[in-house]
Amino acid sequence: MARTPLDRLGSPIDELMDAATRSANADKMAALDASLEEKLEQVRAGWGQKYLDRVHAKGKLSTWERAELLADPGSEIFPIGSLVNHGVQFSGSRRAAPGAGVLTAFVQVHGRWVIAVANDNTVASGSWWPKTPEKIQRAQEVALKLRLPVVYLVDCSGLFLPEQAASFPGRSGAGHIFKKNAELSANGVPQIAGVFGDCIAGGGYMPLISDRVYMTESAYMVIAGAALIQGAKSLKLTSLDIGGPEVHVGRSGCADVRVPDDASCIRLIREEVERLPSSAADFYRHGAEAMDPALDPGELSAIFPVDHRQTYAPREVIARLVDGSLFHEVMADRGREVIVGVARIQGLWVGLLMNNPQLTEHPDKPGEMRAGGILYRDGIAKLSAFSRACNDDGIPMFWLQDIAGFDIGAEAEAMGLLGYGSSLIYGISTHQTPMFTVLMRKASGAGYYAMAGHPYEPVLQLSTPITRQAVMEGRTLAIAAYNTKLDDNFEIATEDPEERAQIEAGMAQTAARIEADMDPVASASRMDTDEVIPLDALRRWLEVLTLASYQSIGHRRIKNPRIWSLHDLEALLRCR
Amino acid sequence: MPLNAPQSPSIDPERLLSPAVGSWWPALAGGALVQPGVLLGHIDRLGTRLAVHAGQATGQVRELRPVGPVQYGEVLISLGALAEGVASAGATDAVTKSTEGLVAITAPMAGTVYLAPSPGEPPFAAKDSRVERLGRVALLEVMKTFTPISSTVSGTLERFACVDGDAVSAGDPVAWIRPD
Repeated sequence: MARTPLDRLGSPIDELMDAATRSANADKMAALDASLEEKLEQVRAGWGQKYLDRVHAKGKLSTWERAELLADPGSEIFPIGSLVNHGVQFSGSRRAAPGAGVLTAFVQVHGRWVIAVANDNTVASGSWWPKTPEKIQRAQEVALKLRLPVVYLVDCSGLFLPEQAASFPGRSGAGHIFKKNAELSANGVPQIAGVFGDCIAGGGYMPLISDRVYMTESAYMVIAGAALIQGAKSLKLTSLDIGGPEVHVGRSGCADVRVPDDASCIRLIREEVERLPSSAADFYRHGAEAMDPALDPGELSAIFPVDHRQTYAPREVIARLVDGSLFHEVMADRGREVIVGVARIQGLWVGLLMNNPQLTEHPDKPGEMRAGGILYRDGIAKLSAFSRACNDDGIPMFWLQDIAGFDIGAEAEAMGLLGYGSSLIYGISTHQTPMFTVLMRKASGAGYYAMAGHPYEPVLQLSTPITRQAVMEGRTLAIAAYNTKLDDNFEIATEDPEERAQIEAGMAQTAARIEADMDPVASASRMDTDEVIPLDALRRWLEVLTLASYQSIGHRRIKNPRIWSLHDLEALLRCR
Repeated sequence: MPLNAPQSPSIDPERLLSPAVGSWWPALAGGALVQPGVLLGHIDRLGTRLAVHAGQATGQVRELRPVGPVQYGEVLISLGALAEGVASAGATDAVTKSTEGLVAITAPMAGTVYLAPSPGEPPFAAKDSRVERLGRVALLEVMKTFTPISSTVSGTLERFACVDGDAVSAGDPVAWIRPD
């Protein structure tokens, strides 16, 4: 019978580790979390109180105030791309561009998850900086893959012109946002726009393809603003005269509804979302109920050693992420360097694919242990087979990475890891069922790719404060870079003290630079990851992503569990 | 007893005999040190893996049965007396000194033992210090992966059985604890 028995995983934290180890791990993680929170707070503050006061003086709300009004009372907003442009100073501005001047987030509206795109009107009047277009497009891609409605809260004075060369002409230049608008529309994804202020050029184009466009009395949409008209045509007009609600709602038909203020606009947008179909998630629970994990997800901070070389118990992590800490592990006896199986999150089935950081026994050489967090042949094949089954069955996948890379050496080549790895890459490149990737700690080498890393376009990729993305660690890269100067034991070969000192300094500098590049905040700034989240928040994120995956019907295959191909796989693999 | 529970071979001071019928996979090499509790190997029986531990036997592996089928009571390992200087200083220390009333904290697999989180940091535990159950005693490094070794009991750390950086085999004692 095609049943999916679930086993209870995990042990109480005080059965896992002593109080001293627990608090040492948690303290180190708390310091990293605090540093992350400080950076996120800077993004939320935009350009600060002075600019917030200016917005309020115009009778308008700030971007975050609008987003909070849009969200269901008491619900949490889950931003993506918060740290884009973090630490970047543009030559044309004295100020930075926190969050690239736009908030993109999962927001719950009348029980439905929507993607909100909201220009930050406290950062250069919501203008588009380098990477702002890419950040908006990324949010649109997430919405398209999950068929989530998109709500645009538009308050954008156009491109930040001193940096126009970086955001105007390329394949992902600002205009590509409007192509994404069109793709969303062509795929039946509802789009709703509220226009709140200066919407010049791009800010004017972004709302137009939306199914419903609301304008407040202080909003205008124009191809060119008053200053440009005055310069080009010597006409003195106000922007409201050119493209205010009188023009666009009353005459041009470019907007649908005229509303007095921000709060009214948000209320009407919420009503529009309520007219859309409600979430199908409860249907796909197949009678199950959502449950919290039996063990506290907050304990993940204590379970993960900050030192990336130290192991931890991976099933204890799963136990703190899934409903009731219940898990059905698949192919547990094969390819033990990875753990795969299904569980429920918010009562909905998900597939988990996770590295095992612990040492495992070589399958063909009893007694010989192999390092964990590495992909060997059986583990790669296991990931391929399981992910194909999930894809076929419509079970959303969470790839939980802590990986140093593929196995290397004569045995790896003789076993054909290139071939097995390519098969895995073919799979993750062509799967249609939503995949999400969490870089829990290490994300190194080709293993980062093969475990559905960013280049393979998972719906979303999350990092944690201890994530390390790199081809190789700093010390290893320094050795590779200075290989010709080292002996067989990777010690500096020369006896000349001066040359020796130079090589030592060079290696240390290389290693330090790589360490800095691996920082998850730097990665998020470059958009090499979508969001950095505390480990304690991971369960909440998985809940949102799971609910979002099951919200819309008709666009993807979701098989009922009786006819999962996963059962065929297990029946054939079962020991007789 | 469930099939997959750890088992010990029949007690014989010189020969360790198979406790089951199946396919024998040794976990030790010739010349290895055998001490109480050390993992000797596995016997695969009808798809179930049986771990075989050393029980109370002590000595050095003289003859080792190669991989292959084994009947109940057949010799798995023949032991010789401990040769001088065979074991690491710490391990010899552990065997020769009295261990009565002490609990061995053992290495789960072969590797290098480190008694501190990293060079220059204070050790996880000191001699004669108090150790809680699950308290960290050492790290075992295998192929750049560091696995914690924790105490199975609360008590006093009577002595270490190895020094920082020692290579140990699976089951080798790392420290001896006098339980409360």
